[in-house]
Amino acid sequence: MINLTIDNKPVSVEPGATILEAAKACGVKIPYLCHYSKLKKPHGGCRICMVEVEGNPRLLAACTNPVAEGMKVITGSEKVHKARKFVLELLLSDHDARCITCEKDGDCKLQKLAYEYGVEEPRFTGARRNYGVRRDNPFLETDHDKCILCGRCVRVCEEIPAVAAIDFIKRGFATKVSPAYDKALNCVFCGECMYACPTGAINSKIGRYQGRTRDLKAVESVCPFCGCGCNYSLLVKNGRVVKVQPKKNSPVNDGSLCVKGSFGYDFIHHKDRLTTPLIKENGQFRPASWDEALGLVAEKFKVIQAKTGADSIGGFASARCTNEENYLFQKLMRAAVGTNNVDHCARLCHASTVAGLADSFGSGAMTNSIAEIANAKTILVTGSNTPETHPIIALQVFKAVRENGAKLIIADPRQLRFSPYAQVQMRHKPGTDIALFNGLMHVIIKEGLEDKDFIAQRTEGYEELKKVVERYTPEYVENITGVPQEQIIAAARLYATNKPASILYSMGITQHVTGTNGVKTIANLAMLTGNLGRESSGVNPLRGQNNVQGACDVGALPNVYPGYQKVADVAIRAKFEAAWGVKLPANNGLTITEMVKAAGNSLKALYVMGENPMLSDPDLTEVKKHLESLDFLVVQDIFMTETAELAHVVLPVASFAEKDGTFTNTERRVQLLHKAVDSPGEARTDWQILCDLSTRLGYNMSYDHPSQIMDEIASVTPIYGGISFERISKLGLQWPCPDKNHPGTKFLHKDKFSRGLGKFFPIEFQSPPEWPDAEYPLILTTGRVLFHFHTGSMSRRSKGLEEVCPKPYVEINPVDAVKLGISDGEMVKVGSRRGEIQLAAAVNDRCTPGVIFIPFHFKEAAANVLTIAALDPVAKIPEFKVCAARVEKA
Amino acid sequence: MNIPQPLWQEIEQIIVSYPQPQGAVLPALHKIQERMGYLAEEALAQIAGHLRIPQVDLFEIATFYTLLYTRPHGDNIILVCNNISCYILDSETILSTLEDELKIKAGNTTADNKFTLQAVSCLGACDGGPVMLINDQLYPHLTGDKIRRILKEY
Repeated sequence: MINLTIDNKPVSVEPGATILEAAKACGVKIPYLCHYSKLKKPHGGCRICMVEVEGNPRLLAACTNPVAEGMKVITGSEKVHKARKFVLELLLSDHDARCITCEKDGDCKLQKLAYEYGVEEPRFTGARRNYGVRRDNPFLETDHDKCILCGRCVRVCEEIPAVAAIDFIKRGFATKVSPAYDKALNCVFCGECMYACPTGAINSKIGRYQGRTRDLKAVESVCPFCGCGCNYSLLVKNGRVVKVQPKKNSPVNDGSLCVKGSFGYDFIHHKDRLTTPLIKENGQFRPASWDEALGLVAEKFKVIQAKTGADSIGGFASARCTNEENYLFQKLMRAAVGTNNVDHCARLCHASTVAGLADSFGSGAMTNSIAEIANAKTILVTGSNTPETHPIIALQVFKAVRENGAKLIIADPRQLRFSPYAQVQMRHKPGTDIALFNGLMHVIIKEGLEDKDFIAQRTEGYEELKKVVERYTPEYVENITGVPQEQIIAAARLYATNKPASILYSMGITQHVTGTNGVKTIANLAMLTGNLGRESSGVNPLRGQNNVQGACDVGALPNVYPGYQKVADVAIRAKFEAAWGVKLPANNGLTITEMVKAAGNSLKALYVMGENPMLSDPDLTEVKKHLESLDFLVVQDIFMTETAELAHVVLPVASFAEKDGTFTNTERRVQLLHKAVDSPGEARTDWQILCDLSTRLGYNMSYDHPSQIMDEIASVTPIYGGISFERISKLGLQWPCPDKNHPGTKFLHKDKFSRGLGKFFPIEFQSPPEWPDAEYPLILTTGRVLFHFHTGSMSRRSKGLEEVCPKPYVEINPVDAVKLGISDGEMVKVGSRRGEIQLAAAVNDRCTPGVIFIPFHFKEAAANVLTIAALDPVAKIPEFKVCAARVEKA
Repeated sequence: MNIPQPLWQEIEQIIVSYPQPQGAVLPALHKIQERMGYLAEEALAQIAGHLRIPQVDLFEIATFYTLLYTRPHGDNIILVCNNISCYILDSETILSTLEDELKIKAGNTTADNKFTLQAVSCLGACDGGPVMLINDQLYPHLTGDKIRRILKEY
């Protein structure tokens, strides 16, 4: 340790620490403008942090100069004061100080320093840069005349999202921060630059003129979009969420957000929000009172229950709603209605993970934490467009690769934003994942790179696996997947030897008829190399929605109660019967995909909470037919979705900003959200509606606050046993957290798998159900884009997100485009055996020749009109990723 | 404007002769400018992709140096020094003489595309001030008459 004094205060810090860090450690405040602690390296550009060091004739920048033994630092001398004031006078001589309308007034670092140092009138007058304000993008407004050229924005943009959209251009007095060729900003619009800006030079167009920091109330919440579960504050003025602020030092997002988090919140106050219950009469919706609407739902459910049995009613819970609401939903279906027909959209994304990893390891969730990714030595990303679908997790990958020297392996048919950083990129044909990973395992075993100790001590079934993968020589695998042998060998060696290695995967693995087997293959690969049960080393399914992990955890699934406790287990069922005081059905319920098929046949009524199967499910024409033939459809949602339009009763609900509760993110972290604003009109929270409805159905449910519901969840769910609102008020807790003193679990399967021994499953490659032929010669694969979320009911009602990405498109490789005579931007018809849609062609090389990609967010050209409803036999997840299609000029 | 194939091959030769990609940036930019006249957006994007350096970083470099052009310019480029030594020797009049003769303001190109006029900081020839540079040719000790004479040579 190095000992020094700062303003006569003794302090000891690590060698290499800067004077600024030492000052922070002993509570001495040194002002600065260009320094940004989130960045790796100090900058030393603004000269505000100058301090005096005894024995040194010059002033030193505290942010860049390291401490030395016995150093005596003086921060408040006359000399220091004068130097800082001089710098401020220079800055203000070329600064548009119209604080009166500045968004940062009251929160501006320059304003604060000018006040503290008493800079009334700058001494220096003369020329000023007159670059004005740029507003030519949907999200950010750049006021160049308020820019002090500290470079924080330039540095964060390069270092954190690895985008490098802006830099200093020109030189000397004329310098400004701008994109290349002074064009309009065209980037990922994460807002990192805006959060870094110390002055009012970069502002959100979405929140401009709607409230400044001192007028805003900050309410801590969790982003409602993807499964990253970023922590942020909703900034509220006059009952409206006008801005957001990411939470610094959060273990999830550490002060960063993506475009959806930073700018996508305006759906909360959209004019389309449902404000009153609606009942359909003669094909038209009419407003109704809550009493009438819920009375009608209860009556219909009772009649159908009496006539055709409880199992002719089904319910879709929601990965968008809180844990408490999902818990009550499944409790209502099971205890009040009397059926296990409860499921949610996890069926369409990670059902195969839940099933597959449960078989291989004993529990199906990310084995590691988000923050551990940065310290992995090798990262294998497969079937996940992480930079677009989980932008905050991608930041960890960028950090690992760019700062910590990790090696990146990508196995994905499409070109991704982090592809240029990959050591090996395997662009295999969609649907051939199992063959590819069997090929990797073949190489690993052949070259003796397997972890023999791990296999012997922690696993079973190795010999069977070995036998199966023996056939998967690099040559054989190249034939199936189209990946060159050298790449297969290189990836295998890297993954097996450069440890710890972490696998990130997502829908590209799970959304196949062989999804469960694909997941088990990934598990095989990790176990074979011992890449499990250690920090930064594991199998990490990235969950798609804000609370899809939680909805699964609290039992919104047809075969398990909360905590993955099996319905089929008599002792477990007895436990829940005792806890809920009612006889429960013994048979497993139907999955979403099965309920849709049964709708209109054995299923008569469907209760949909916050889901939109009319856009999210495969083969939409069939889905519509089924939903329309139901006797009774209830949808509760924040907007009139495509599904709600078909409903008999629509119930308006509170959005995430209008209620208390918890979401569990993809790394198993249970996090708290708080009510920030009131719901519009008569909209109520889902949990209140569920209590009311259940009571009307004759099963009393009554809670004063969601925290009581969480206490009940904890009492029946061992993995949530130690979780309460009080404990997670600061940080959140990662399950398993069995009791009140348990600190939560950072990574799973440390010394023992949840099931005891990890199990290898020998798995053969199997071709997708539909493969290109003469009539439909292309492979269609579907997915998400950065700027939209799922069925778009939220993101497409966000002004900025819709402006930047307003239209559906099909990505097609130039090779195919030339063959078909299609040019970029041209309207085309894309058809499959199930339907046809029209949309614009985006001709680029993101897909390999023979493969096309369509995002599924757009109702005007719904990708799921084309997809095939073939199901994985175990997890019942549909094949969203491969079907045969053709493209023609429109 | 993309980089034509033969030029691209020359640039690749330049790139491989440097141990770090950063080292090749300035020589590559000079080569493009020499052949294509200026640094077109597409050309810079191609180099950026090849060297794995963000395009905006190359643009930063290109706009930092006076002798690199990011926009099309006239057949001949006139650079007039306005730095301290030349300023003392009345470079302001030299510049305004040129503006009058060419009937354009500094920073612009004549209608016939023959000349682009630019004021710059220091051409490194203070002993000859006031100076201007036309393309690669330096003209020292300028006067109004001298300027008119020189312009006729082009």
